[in-house]
Amino acid sequence: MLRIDDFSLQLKGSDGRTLPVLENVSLQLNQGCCLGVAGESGSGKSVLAMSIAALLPSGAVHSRQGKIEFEGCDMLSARESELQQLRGRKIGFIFQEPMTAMNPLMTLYDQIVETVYAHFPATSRADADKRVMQALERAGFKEPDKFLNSYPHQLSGGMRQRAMIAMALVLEPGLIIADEPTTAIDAALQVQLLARLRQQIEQEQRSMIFISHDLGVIKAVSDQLAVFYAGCLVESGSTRAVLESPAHPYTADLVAALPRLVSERKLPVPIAGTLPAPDKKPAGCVYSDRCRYAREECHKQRPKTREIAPGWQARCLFPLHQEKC
Amino acid sequence: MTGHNQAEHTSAHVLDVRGLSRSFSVEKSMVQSALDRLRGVAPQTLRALHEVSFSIARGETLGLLGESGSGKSTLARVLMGIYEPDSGSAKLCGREIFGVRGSERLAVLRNMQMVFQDPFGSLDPRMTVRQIISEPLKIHGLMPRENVETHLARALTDVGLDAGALDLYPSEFSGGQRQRIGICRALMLNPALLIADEAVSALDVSVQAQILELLIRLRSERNLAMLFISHDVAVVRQISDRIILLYRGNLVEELPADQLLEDGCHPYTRHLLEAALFLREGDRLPDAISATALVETNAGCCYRPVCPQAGKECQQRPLLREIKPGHRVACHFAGE
Repeated sequence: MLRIDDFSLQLKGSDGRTLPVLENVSLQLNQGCCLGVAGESGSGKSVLAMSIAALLPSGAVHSRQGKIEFEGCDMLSARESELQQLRGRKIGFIFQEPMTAMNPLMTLYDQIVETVYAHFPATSRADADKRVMQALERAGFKEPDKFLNSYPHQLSGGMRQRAMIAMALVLEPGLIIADEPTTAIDAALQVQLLARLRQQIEQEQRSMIFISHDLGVIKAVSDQLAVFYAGCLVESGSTRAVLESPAHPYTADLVAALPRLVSERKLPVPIAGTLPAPDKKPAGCVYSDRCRYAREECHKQRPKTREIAPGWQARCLFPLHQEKC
Repeated sequence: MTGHNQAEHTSAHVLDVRGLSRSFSVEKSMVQSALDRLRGVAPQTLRALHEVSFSIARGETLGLLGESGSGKSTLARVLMGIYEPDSGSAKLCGREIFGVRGSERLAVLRNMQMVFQDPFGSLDPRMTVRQIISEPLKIHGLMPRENVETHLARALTDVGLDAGALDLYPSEFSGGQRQRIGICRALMLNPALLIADEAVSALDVSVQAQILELLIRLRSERNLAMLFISHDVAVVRQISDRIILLYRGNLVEELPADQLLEDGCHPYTRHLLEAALFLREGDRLPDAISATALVETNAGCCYRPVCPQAGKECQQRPLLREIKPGHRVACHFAGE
C-alpha cells in the first residue's frame, strides 16, 4: 500500500546551504503490517515520516527526488487538496509530544471531532458523537464520556497519549504513522499502548509505521524493520531476523549499545564518535568513520544497497554475514 | 580521591537514611479549598515518601527504580535539600544533613553532588564551561590559588572532553557532551556520593552507553558511591550493585542487582519486570495490567488496590522483612 522508491530529500539550511537529510531510501509497506523505523536523533527518521504524509513545509524543502506512492497516489506531485483528502482520513498521524501536538484551548471532544467535520462537514451531531466515542474506546479509554469536556492539561500523560491515538484513529485510516508515541511514559503504560496499536494492526488489518530510537520497543511491536543512520537506510528486513543477526555493522553496534534484560549482566557497548551533521557526512559509507570493520574501499564511495536474503537488504560493502562465511 | 573529604568520615556507610517521609498537599482551586475549610474537610495530602530507609556503602552503586509518581525524584530533592523532609534522618559520611544550616550545611553537602536528567536545562546557556565547572569551587571556597587552568583542564579530560572546550558555551555541545559537563561539575568537589537522577534517560542508546561507561570508570577510579535513579529496569540492573524499588513513596523491595530477574518477588517488582521484558526483549505481551490506582490508601499495603494477590492480610501495612541475606521485601506473601 505504501512504496518509497529511491527517495532523496534536501532541506534548506539556515545559511543557504543545502542539507541532504535523506539519501536514496527505498521501502515498502504492506497492509496489516507494522514497519519499525529505528535510528538515533538526527538520523532522518522523523523527516521520512513527515515526507510520507507530505507534512514538511514547502519553504523548508530544497529539492526532492524519487517517488513516494500511497495507495496509487503519487505523494510528491499530488496537489494540496488531494493531500488534505488523505491526511486524517487515509493516513493517521500520532505525534511525539501530546502536550505540544494538542491544542490547549480545545476540549478532548473538540480536538477529535475536528477531523470528522474537516472531512465530512455534513456529519450529524449524533454520528460525530458516535465516532468520537468509538475512537476513544479503541484507544483504550475506559469511560470516555467522563473526559470529553476535559482540556489537555486536565488529562494525565498517559491519557493525553491515548487521546493522540484516538485522534489518529477517528476516521479509521489504513495507515497510521506513529512518531515515538511512547517515549516519555512509564513502562506499564507503554505496554498497554503498544498492545492497543498491535491490536489495530492484527484485528483491523491497518498498517503502521512505528518510529522509535528504542530497538526494544520496535522489536516488541513491528514485523519489518528499517534502520536509519545519517539519512541513509542502512538495513531493512524482518525485525526478528535483522535483530538476531544484523548484517550492517551499525545495526550490530546499535543492538550492542542497548541495555539488555537477558539473564547475563553484560554492560552495553558504546559506539565511539558522534552522528555526523547532514552537511559533514563522510564521502564514502556514511558509517565509515565510526565503523570498526571499515576498509579502504569503504571511505571511497557510498555503497549501494544489496540483498542479504530475500526481503533483507543492507547498504554495506562488507556485510557481517559474509565475514562469517 | 584526595585529602580532606575522605578523612571526615569513618563510618562504613556514605549515606544512611532512616524513616524518611515527605507529604505534599494536593493543589485545589481557591474556592474548593475555602469550601473544604468551611465544611471541616481535612486538606488532601499526597504521601510522596513514606518512612523510607536505606543505606549506601562506600564505592557502592545503589539503583533506585520506580515509575513516575513513585517518589524517586522527591527522594533526590529531599536529600539535596531542595525540599525539607517531614520526618526522618539522613547521615552523609556520618554527619546528619537535615536541620543543619549555613556554613555547616555547606560543609556537609560538599560530599554529595547531583547529575540531572536534562542535559539542556541543567546548564546555564550564558555561562562558559569554565564558569560552569568552577562555580562549585567558588561557592565552597575551594578554588585553587595556582594552576587553575591545569586543574580545570584535567577535570574536563577526566570526563572525556577536550581541554580546549573550557571557553565554549553549552549550546556548542551535543546532548552526550553536555551530560559530561554536568558530570564534571558534580565531581569538581570530589564528593563521596553522586546522585544521578535519570542521568542517561534523555540520551540516544549509543550515547547512553558512553555515559554509563564514563560513570562506571569514574566510580572505580574514585571509589565513588552512587545513587542511580531511573525508571529503566535494564539500565539500573546493569550499573547497580544493589537495587531498591519505590512504589507510591514506599520502599517495597531491596535486593542485589544480579538477583533482580530471578528473585525479585514483590508483585510490583514482577509487574515492572514483565513490562520491561516485553519492551526490551520483545517477550510475550504481559497480561493486562490494571491502571495504577489514583486512590490514596492510608491503611494497609500501598500496592493493595492494584495487586492481583491482595488478600485479607494486606489491610495491614507489611513491614520490610528480610527473606534472604541482603534481600528485603514489604509483602505479606513474600518468601512463601
